[in-house]
This record gives sequence, C-alpha cells and structure tokens, in this order.
Amino acid sequence: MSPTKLKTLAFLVAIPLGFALAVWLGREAATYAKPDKFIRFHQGIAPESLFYPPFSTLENLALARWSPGRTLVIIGGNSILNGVGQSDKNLWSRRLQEELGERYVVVNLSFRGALPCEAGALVAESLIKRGLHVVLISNTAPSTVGRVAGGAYGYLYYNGLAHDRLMYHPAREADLAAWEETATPSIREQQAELRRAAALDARFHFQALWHHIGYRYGFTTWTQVTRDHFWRPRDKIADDGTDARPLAERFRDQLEAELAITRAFSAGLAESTEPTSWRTYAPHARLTGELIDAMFPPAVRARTIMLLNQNAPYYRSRLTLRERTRDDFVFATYEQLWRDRGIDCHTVGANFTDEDFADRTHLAPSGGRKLALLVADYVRQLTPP
Amino acid sequence: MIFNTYAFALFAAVFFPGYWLIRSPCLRSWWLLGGCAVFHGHFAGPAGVLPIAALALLTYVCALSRLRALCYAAIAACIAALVFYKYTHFLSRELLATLAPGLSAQATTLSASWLPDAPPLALSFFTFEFVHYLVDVAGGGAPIRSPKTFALFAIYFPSLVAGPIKRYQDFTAALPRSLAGVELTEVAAGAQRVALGFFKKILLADNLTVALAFYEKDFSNLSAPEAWLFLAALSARILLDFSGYTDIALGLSQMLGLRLPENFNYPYAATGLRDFWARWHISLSSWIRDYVYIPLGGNRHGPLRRSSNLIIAFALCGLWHGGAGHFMVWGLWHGLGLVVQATYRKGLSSLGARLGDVLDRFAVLSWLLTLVFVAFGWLLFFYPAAQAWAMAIKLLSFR
Repeated sequence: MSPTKLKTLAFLVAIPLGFALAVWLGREAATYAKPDKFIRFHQGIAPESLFYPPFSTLENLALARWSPGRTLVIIGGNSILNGVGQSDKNLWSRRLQEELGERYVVVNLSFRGALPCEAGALVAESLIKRGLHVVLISNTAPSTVGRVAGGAYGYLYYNGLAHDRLMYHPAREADLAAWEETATPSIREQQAELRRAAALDARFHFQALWHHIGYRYGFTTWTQVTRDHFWRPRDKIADDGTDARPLAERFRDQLEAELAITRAFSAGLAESTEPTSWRTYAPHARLTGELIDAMFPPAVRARTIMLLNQNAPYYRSRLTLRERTRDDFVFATYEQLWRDRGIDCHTVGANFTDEDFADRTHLAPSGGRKLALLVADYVRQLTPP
Repeated sequence: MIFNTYAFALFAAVFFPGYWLIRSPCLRSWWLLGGCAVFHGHFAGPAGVLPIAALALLTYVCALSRLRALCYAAIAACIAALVFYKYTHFLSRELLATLAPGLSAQATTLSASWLPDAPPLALSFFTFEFVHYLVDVAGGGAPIRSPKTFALFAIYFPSLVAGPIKRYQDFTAALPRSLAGVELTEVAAGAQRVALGFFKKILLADNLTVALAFYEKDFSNLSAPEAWLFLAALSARILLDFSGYTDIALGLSQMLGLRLPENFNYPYAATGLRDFWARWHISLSSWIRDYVYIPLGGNRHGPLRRSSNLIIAFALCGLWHGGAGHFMVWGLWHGLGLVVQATYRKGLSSLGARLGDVLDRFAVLSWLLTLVFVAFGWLLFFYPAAQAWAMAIKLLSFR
C-alpha cells in the first residue's frame, strides 16, 4: 500500500474512532459535569452568553449536595428568583438555605426570563420521578404560565424528554402539538430541529461534552456578555450580579414606561362590574387553568410553591384607586386559581417597601431576605417533619 | 446555513454511506437523485419545490426541442419567475415608491397577498443555471437527454443552496465517473475540505457576524483604529462566510467523487479590480461575463459601450445578491471601479500613464488600493446607502 493511501486510510479510520471517543467522553461528562461553587446561573454560564447548560448539568447541580433523607428545594422561575438586584453574597437563596437548615438542600436553577414551568421545574419533575423528596419554588406574573417549549429554555424540555427524564404527561404533549399546529413554518422547523438535536444528544452526549469543554478549557463563540474574553473557559467568568443601587437612584429610569407596565399588569385580566368591583376576564382565566394542567404533571403540582410577584410600591402607589383594587383582585383571584389546580400559590411583595426592591420587579438584598423568610415558611408548611 | 443543521447531519449520516456502499452506477444515480430530492423537499418545503419543479420541467422540455424560440421563451419564464419572487417587493417598495408613492402602496399590498414570505430556496442559483443551459443549447450545444441526469444537474444538493453555479457540460462529463466509484483519497480530501469550511464559517465568520452586529450600533463612537478594524473584520467576515460555505459544498461533492468548480482564489490578494473579479465568486463573475457582458457587446464596440456594458453587468450582479437598492449600488460601485481601471491610463493622458507606471511598479500599492476599494464596497453591500456613506465618511476622517 502506498504511503498516500495509508495516510488516507488512517485519516478515514480516525474519524469514526475520534467520534466514538468523543461520545464516550460526553457520556462520562454527563454524569459529573457541573459548574464549581455554584450559586446561580449568572450570565456567563447561561443562554444570554450562548452557554446552554444541558439537562444533565442541572441535574448534577441539584444532586451535588443532596444526600438521602434531605429534601431538595429546587428554585425555578425567572430573574426575580435568580436574584437580579442581589450580589451572589447577598443572594436570597443563600438566606433561604440558612433559614431552612441542614434538613434541606436549596439549589437555585432559575434563569432570567424563564417561565414558571421551564428549566428548574423540569429538573424537579425529573427528580420527583426518580423518587426524591423535592419541593419546587417557582414564580411568575398572575396569568403567565407559558409552555415548556418555544422559548429560550425550550431546549431543556426536549433534552429532558429525549433522555427519558420527564414524567408521562399526555396533556402536555397534546398542548404542545396543538400549539405547533398553529405556529409558523419556521417555528415548526425550529422545534423539529430542537427535537432532532435532543434525540441525537441522547445517543451521542455532545451537549455535555461541549459544555464541559466550554466551562473548563475554552469557549469559541463571541457574545456580547463575554466580548472582551469570549475564548476564556466559562469557569473564569465571574458572577457579575451586583446589589441594588442606593435607594435615591432607583426607580427613576423610564418612569413612564415602567408605570405603563405596572398599569397593564392586570388590565387585561379583569373587567369591571361597578366602579370598584371586578370580575375575572373568563377566557384568560380558562386558558391559564388549562396551561397549568398541561404544563405541570399532577405529581409536580403537589410539590410546587408558586410565587406571584407584585410590583414595587413606588409604582403601585402611583396607580389610581380603581387600578389598585383591580390589581389586588387579580392577584387574589389568580392565586386561588393556581391553588384550585393543586399548586400552593402565594402573592409576594405586596407588603414590601421601596427599600426592598431594586427596580419595578427585582428585589434588593433586604427584599431577598424577606422573601427567604416567607418561602422558608411555605416550604416547612408543605413538608412537615 | 443548512449544512450545520441536525436535519442535514441525519441526512448525511444515511445518504453518504449508502452512496459509497452501492456498487451499481445505475442504482447509485437513483440513490443520488433520491437524496437530492429529499434534501430539496425538506429544506425548501412544498412552496419552494413547486416553482422550481415547474421551471425545471419547462427548461428540460424546451431545451430538448432544440428550438431557439422555445429556449428563449423558457429563459424569459425563468427570469420572470426570478423577478416575481425576488424583486416584486423591491420594485414596488423602493423603485415605485420614488416614482409614484400612491401606486407603490397599492402594489405592495397586492404583492403581499400573492407572494410567499420568502422566495423559493436558491431561486437565483436555479435561474442562472437554467438560463446558462438554455442559452448554450439555443447556441447549438447538445441538450441533456436523460431526465434523470437533468434532474441531477438541477437539484444536485451540494451546490443547491449557495452554489457554485455549475456549467452543465462540466457536470454531465464528471457525473458518470462519480457514479462509477469514489476513490478513498477523494473522500478524505472532501472531508478535510468540509472541516475547513465549517471552521471558516462557524468558528470565524459566525463570530465576526455577531461581533460586527454589536459594534455596528455604536460605529459612530468608535475610534479611528477601531473603525478601520471594523472594516477589516467586515471584509474578512464575508470572505470567510461565503468561502467557508463553498468549501463545505465543494468538500461534500468531492466526497461523492464529483469536483465542482472553485469559487474563490485568494481574492484579497488581487492587485486590481479585474483581478479581484477573476478571484471572487468566480462562478458568478464568469456567468455574468458569459451571459450578460459579452452578449451586451463586451469590449467590442469602443470604450463608451464597454463602460456602459460593465456598469449594466455589475448593476445586475449587485441585484442578483438581493432585492434591495444597496445591492445595486454595490454593483454600480464595482462597475464604475472597473470602468475607471480600464480607462484612467488613456483618460488622464500623461498623468494617467504615469500613475499606471507607478501602480505597475509598486504592486503593493495596487494591492492596497484594490483592498480598500473592495472593503468600502462591502459597506454598500451590507448597509443602506446613507448609512454606508456615513460610515465611509467616518473612516476617511480618521477620527
């Protein structure tokens, strides 16, 4: 055989061998890879910087400090529970762990902009399915449930599904199929591509390998968040979350726009019967109820504490009396609606002060401390000794 | 990009081993055709396949008749389809808006109800390949008799999305050899080329694309060196993006044992605009030369006619890239540049001759001038003319 032919053959044989090696390494990485000294998903290790931690990473994080006999408190939800407005030192979930003590393991798996049923909620579902004692803390605005697929964190649903981590819940699949039917062709293709990715990943484990390399050894994708050092491994990117600005500097930015959002918060959810009497706008309430049923399997609902976050008093105090009564009515009604569906639901922030808020929605360290106290209480009620 | 989707990965995982394992050339050609049809059907969708299938059938039948009138009618149909799908919005929104704003609004509403959201996948490439085929057959070339071979020429998947624009004579000559068997060395070389293409496209070009989109928003506040770095990155980005994609297409085809024409030959090493166009998107520039510039008269009727031919050919070349005014302006920029390059020695008499001597003697200077000219052209290619103008002013003010 000529040297050229030998070289060619060696090259062609090396391709499947290299692939097999990568699959094996990915399979290994899926069992242990996770960020070090994890506190929360800051921007450097989250989809904002094109780092999409796979389902296995989230599970590894949840199980890292857990041991039999302890209850896992998984925090899902959005930027409010992620602790925007609090530095990692003053993060509310640290306070929650201190408050709950050794019997509980608190893991903050919330992401900015995540829906209540996404990310952390899916990990909680997976661990409940495996028989672990889990409590899920999630949050949202009163009528926002959303869907596990279609958003920035939708990949985690397909990832979990393909790895056989999620519960059998036909209502969810039926709802997603019906939603896809009405979606544009490009969205349908996007979802199909995510499903293909997840199906291939279930066999070849490339997500775990790639993110492990990206976290430990170096990254290849330029992002706005990591622009000056995008090639650096993500374990070198620090949590850049800061505590809220001094009170005198808060709330003034875009006052009108923020007030408009505060006003609109409950506007479409209730219709007036008399000047200060309200009734829920039925189609919205029905849709919210249906989505809760579809997105949360019954076994997860029984282990979930849903927080409905009120806006900062700085803005709420500027609402008219009529708007405030509507707001209170909507929060109370939807809180009951979530409860009727089997989810322990609480409105939080209504009696917090301006000092407790970093901006319209996010909490300052003092608000975080109050939240931790409240949530600890809800957790204890749900999991009596 | 289609080649970095999971759908393509799955397709390739089934298609390529099948192609290599099948021994019979006839079966292999059916496997190839089936693969091309699946690829086209999946990525273009029914709305994208139907117009192309209709045009392909028309092209095949008209060329087979060898009647010039029918070939020209089919050419007109191909061009009409291209104009309809790709340029109706441009004609109604940009061109008509300046001439008759009222009519423009009506035309825009009307066209929105007729047209799909996006033109059929790779319509420009299909049109150019069909027109080339029909022109050559009308000029006496032998048509492709086998419908299977014609279908393979029309929807050959490696070059379907972004070229290179094939010539049917080369393709039909190379196809039987590929169907007879693929050398291992070709597979290995093709795989290496695909890897190089992915490296250029995903690792380099895609990163530059996001970074440029970020810094473009703040371009007016960049320092002079940063702004020039931006221009360099913009120039690098389009080369890496397009040549990376071409490398993948060429590599995939080589893995099937069929070599497609090269599209790039170190274009930024060019020492003149003519030289640049002999190295950049070669399959397009040679198509424009053969089917627009030369039929218009080329350089056969004096400098004035040559200049106007160049400008028309390059305005069309610009428009081919997309239905927007700035693409045409980019084409005109290059057309005018080529006119200046072809005429300045005589046009500026002794000064022109001396300038020509200097540029001939110092090739580095010619290279630098060409590079800067091309780079400023990319501003027109990527941004609306007014924005490109403001960016150019900032760059030239060195502040």
